[in-house]
Amino acid sequence: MIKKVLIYLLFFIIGIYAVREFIYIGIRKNKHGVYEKYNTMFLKKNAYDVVFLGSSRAETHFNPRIFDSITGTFSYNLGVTGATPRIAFAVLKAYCSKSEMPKHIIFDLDFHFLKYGIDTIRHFPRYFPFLSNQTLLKEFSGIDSRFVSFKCNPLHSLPYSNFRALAASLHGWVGVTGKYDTTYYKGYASVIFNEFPHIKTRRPFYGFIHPRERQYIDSIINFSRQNHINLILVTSPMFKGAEEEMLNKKAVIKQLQNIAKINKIEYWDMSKSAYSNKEDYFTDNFHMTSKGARLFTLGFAFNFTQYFHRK
Amino acid sequence: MLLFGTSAFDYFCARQISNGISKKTFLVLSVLTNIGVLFAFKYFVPVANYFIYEYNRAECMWSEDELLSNLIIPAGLSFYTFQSLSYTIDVYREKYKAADKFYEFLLYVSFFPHMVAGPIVRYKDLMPQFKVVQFFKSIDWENFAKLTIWGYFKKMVIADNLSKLVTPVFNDVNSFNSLEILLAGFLFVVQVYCDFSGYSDIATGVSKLFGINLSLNWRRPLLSKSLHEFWTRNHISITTWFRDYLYISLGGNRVTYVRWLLNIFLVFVISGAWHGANLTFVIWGVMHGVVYIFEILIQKKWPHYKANKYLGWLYLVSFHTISLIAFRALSVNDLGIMYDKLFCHLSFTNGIGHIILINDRLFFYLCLFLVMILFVKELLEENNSILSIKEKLRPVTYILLLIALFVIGDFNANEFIYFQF
Repeated sequence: MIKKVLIYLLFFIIGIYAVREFIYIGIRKNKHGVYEKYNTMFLKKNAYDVVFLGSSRAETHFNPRIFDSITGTFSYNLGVTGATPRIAFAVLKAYCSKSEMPKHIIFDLDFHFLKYGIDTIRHFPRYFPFLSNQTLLKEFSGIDSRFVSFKCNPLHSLPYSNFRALAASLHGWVGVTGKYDTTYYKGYASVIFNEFPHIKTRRPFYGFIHPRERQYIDSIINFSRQNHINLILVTSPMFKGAEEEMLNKKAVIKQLQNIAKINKIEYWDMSKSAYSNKEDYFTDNFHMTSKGARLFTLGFAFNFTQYFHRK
Repeated sequence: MLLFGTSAFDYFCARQISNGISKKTFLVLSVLTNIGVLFAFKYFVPVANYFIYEYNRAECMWSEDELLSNLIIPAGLSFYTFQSLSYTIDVYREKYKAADKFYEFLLYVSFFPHMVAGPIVRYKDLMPQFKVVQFFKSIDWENFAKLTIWGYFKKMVIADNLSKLVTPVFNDVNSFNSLEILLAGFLFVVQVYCDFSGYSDIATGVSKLFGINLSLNWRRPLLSKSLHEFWTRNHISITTWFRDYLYISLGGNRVTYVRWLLNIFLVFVISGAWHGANLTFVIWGVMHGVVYIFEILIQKKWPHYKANKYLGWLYLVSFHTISLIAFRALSVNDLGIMYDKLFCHLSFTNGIGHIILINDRLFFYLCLFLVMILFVKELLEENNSILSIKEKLRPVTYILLLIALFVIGDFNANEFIYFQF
């Protein structure tokens, strides 16, 4: 009986590893969408001049198609949802471990993620198929110790992946695109206005820079300096409602200006701009629609070009 | 505390009844206490909340803190109350003697695998097993594995995935057409069956680890060809409980013909109302009562009539779907909208397009595939064809089910539907 049970268990374990491999290979085969982005970021060898770093604000605000057409550079958007400075740094290091060092990093500082001092890797199951990138595994397991187990143990990782991973994998194997896959272009995710038609003011909050987040901003600055990368800190546009939502925005911006001054790098505060009053440019107080992002990237690209002419 | 308290009281009452001391008084005390606890949790809280809400609204002093919403109904309250009640009533009916030791009775009531959602096991069936089994020495590993794997598959793969299609429809009935409501109703039929019977399978499987055999609770009810047949196959332990302790207490069939029909009707209405303080449950009970009686009348008028089995199945599934729409509706108003769409203003615009778009086209087809798997397995079991599957292939099937559990199962800890009852 024991022998029988052991044989069944063995078959089950082999089966579960085989199924997981089937799912992950399929995911990595995606030619569009978020998984194609992660594949490019963590597994491919790239040679981009400019990379955009940050949270979902960076991901949805910087459109490489427009930026490249104005500046003549070759850019990629490394923004990932919910990225604190620590996660952004981990993503940057994982990217650089496989790709050539970029010449410029545009780091969009998201006020929401400066104040917590706690790292939660948002949508963490999305990273599972890319954990063969040792830097990514090392960095993420430093943030969430379960990542080592997620890599080795399918019984731990598969329940988190669920049907979504299977669907994405089948898309990859069959070569079709999913519902939102076509909204991605070189890491940039465009948001269609109608998807989030209501801009609501949430509970007001006081922003500040948590010492731990400050430490990781410094790490990104040092990393850029060591690798001779030009780093530009940016705060991309916010809707006028953000002024009511964030009670001490000016004070936080002042702190960021000080950080830039101390480190002799650029900080461009573009949070309050000409588009800040237009509702159809924003999906909520902190995220722009594809229409808003197009205009913002255009303006940003001109600034970027002028900055280099000045330099 | 509640379980311990009611069990102690029932144990005491049963001892008194068994000793012949004021038998009727102690039986009434036990029944009233148990029903009272059940009533307090199921009806008092929602009714009190309703009045507090109305009062606050009238006085413009709205505050959520004042509601009794934090009072949680203990999981499986009904099931262990029913078990406890069956014990005192059986002792009163002198079917067996009261337990000598309190811990024996407490073990019977609190045997954890089936405590929260059945099957409801009678004292005379469970207690002898406790007394003879040698724990961990005679474990039926094979049946433990089969039952738990299939139970978890039904719950986490079939029921929980179907709920992702069903819930949005019932939460927003105005946005879906007749066909989609009907489809959601049918998927809910499968969801409830898989959710509830999945728990029973897991409970029965886990009990095998202790050498305990729980009674058969489900006999493929979705393959029934009439409502009569359905109620002999669906959650057998609770159906027989209502038969033995409610229907028979009302007089059963030893009364006039009309009274007999009324007894049947009352059993269905009470079993509907037992689900909670929502009129939709009562409507569900009334529908089943009426159709059940209708079948009796047909049988009486044409005793030799036998419907075509496929037509019979279609009739049962259609009625069960329509009645479970009432069961699942969030309010009588929602139910009115759905029945209006189903019976008065039929509309098939866009087909089932909205329901497909709820999640993902692939997800929708996967759900249909899962429903198909369920019916194929049930049909194979019904025709005993499952035995003809080669013995060496059977473990492979269960290994595949277990793998599927990890790949497409929903691990978000959705609680079992019947935990709330």
